[in-house]
Amino acid sequence: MISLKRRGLAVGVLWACAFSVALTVVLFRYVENQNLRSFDNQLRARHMQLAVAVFESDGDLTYVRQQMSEGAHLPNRAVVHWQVRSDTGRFAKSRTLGNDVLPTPDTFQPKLALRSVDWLDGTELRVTSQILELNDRMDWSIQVAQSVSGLRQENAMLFRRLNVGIFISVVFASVGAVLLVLFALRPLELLREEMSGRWSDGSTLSMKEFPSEIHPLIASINELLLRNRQIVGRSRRQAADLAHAIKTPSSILRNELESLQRTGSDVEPALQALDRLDNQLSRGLAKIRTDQGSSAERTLTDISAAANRMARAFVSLAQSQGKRLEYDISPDLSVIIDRQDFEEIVGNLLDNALKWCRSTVKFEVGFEGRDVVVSISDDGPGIPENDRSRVVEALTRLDEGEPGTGLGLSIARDLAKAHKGGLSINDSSELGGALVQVRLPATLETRIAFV
Amino acid sequence: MRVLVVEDDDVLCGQVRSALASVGYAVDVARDGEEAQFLGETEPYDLIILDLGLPVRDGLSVLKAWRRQTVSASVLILTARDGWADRVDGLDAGADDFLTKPFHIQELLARARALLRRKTSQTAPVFESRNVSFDTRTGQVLVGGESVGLTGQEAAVLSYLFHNADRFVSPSELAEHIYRYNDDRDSNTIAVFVNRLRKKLGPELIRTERGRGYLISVST
Repeated sequence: MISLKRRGLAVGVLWACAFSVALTVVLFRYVENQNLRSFDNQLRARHMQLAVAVFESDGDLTYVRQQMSEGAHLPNRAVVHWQVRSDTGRFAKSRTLGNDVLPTPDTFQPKLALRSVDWLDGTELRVTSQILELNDRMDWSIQVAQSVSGLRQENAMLFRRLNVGIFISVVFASVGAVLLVLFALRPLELLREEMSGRWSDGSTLSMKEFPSEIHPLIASINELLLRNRQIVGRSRRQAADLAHAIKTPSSILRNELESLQRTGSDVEPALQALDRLDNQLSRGLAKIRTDQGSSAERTLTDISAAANRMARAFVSLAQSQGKRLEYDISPDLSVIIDRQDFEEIVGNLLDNALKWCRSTVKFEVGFEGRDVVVSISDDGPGIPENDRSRVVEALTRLDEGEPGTGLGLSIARDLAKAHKGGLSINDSSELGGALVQVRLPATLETRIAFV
Repeated sequence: MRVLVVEDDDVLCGQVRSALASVGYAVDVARDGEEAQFLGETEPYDLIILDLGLPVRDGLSVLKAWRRQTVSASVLILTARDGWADRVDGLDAGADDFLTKPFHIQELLARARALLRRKTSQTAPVFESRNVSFDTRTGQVLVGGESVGLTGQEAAVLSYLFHNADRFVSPSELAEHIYRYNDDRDSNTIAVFVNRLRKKLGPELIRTERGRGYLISVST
């Protein structure tokens, strides 16, 4: 499809050209006509002068010649020829005709007639002709003629001037077309910006900000948005309900098996099967979660607020385990990520750190380069370099003796990836244990605020 | 120690209740959010174990209501929901710890012990005063290294006095924390239990002051 802008511009410029040309042609024809009419009028006046002279001459052609030599030139100094002839063969003509004779029409009439005639020197003549009956009862044919070449020259000059006009009007009309297209298409541009920017805050698009022509489109987009939100919300609820429905019976089963175990029954195979079941469920739910992470709508999350909430929650959690959580969170950080996904990433990492630390966990959130960086370090044993790539794989646990599903790091990594970020593991130079960092691309506002 | 278990699943609720009762806690149960809120607001629990997915009223709003009413009991959240958002919601609303289903009952008991100890200055699981030691994990009582057998109620009184060491505890407060909601509470029986404890553990462990109550001192 050709872009709307190109369509608009092409049609606008073509219309400007066509309109200008048509206007010029019409204008030129009109002025040309006017000029010819005033030319003819002057010729008629001359004809009348000749007719009066013939009338007054009483057949004395010398008188006629004398009369016509006065004012023989019209104001534009063009040469005007004349010629009189009676039906008895008397004849007189202007000196300007030299040896030539004006062509006489086949029929003369009492009414003055005007026509164009090709003249001997290749020019065109306008010729009048009329039959007059004088007192002597003789019919006199009288004729006046003038070359139109002067008129043609004048018209040509006019045409050249009009061409300059065409050019100027084409330029103006084209500029107008460009402005019109830009102005008319501005709402579409705005729509695109809204979709990538304000759309992300979870609200719908406002009709008021768009012209009525786009309203059906906005309505459809809002409908789609709403439906997407509902689908994501519903599948999240379903996953949570499924978890709830399975985990309570699983708890009951586990408790029963463990109390049987205490009385000496061998239930180890059953407990192992239950472990597999629980792991499979956790894994499946985590998969649903990360899949949704990449397909969920992009919502803007105030990372600083979310991280502070997590920090508050984990400070009391750490206290109840006799440990300490220190945190340092920069204000005004935001990322396009679902808040629950962010909490899932940070929750898993803080939980891990709290489990493995000796006494202290440090939780920092700041801005670096183009990213919001979440750093979680601890004073625990750290993660050996060789194990780092393995440990983020699902269900890998370096210490099978500790409780846990082995999903935390892999969930955190998958969610970070789903939001165009990443997870890295290093040694903490400050605390001596592991340093896990998650990078998430910051929003433009955050970047501007920090640069 | 008084414990409230809020869980809508009958079987799981029964398992948790009997596990907690087996280590000497006085356990009440609530099956829905409304009942839980009422009990939490009217009874002086030391610990509340709260499932978040409850009928009638969800656990989170019950917890928020308690904290608004300045119910100060430690709260351990049980959740079957996957994901951290729920847990953080719970902690943010004033819970002290959480446990996700499925859980090991031993893990639940360990968390419960840790939370009950949190209000004391004690971090180790074993309380000691003079030549008497009380192990909160097993309920075992040693006097000069010799194991002494206690009845459930005697152990409950001793446990409460250790958890509230270095302050006087009135007989009625003791009664509120060792009897369940539907038990007959007779604060006169408290004096009987204290006398028996003195006989078994030596006369100096528990001090009495008329009008103030009983005191175990752990600071030297």
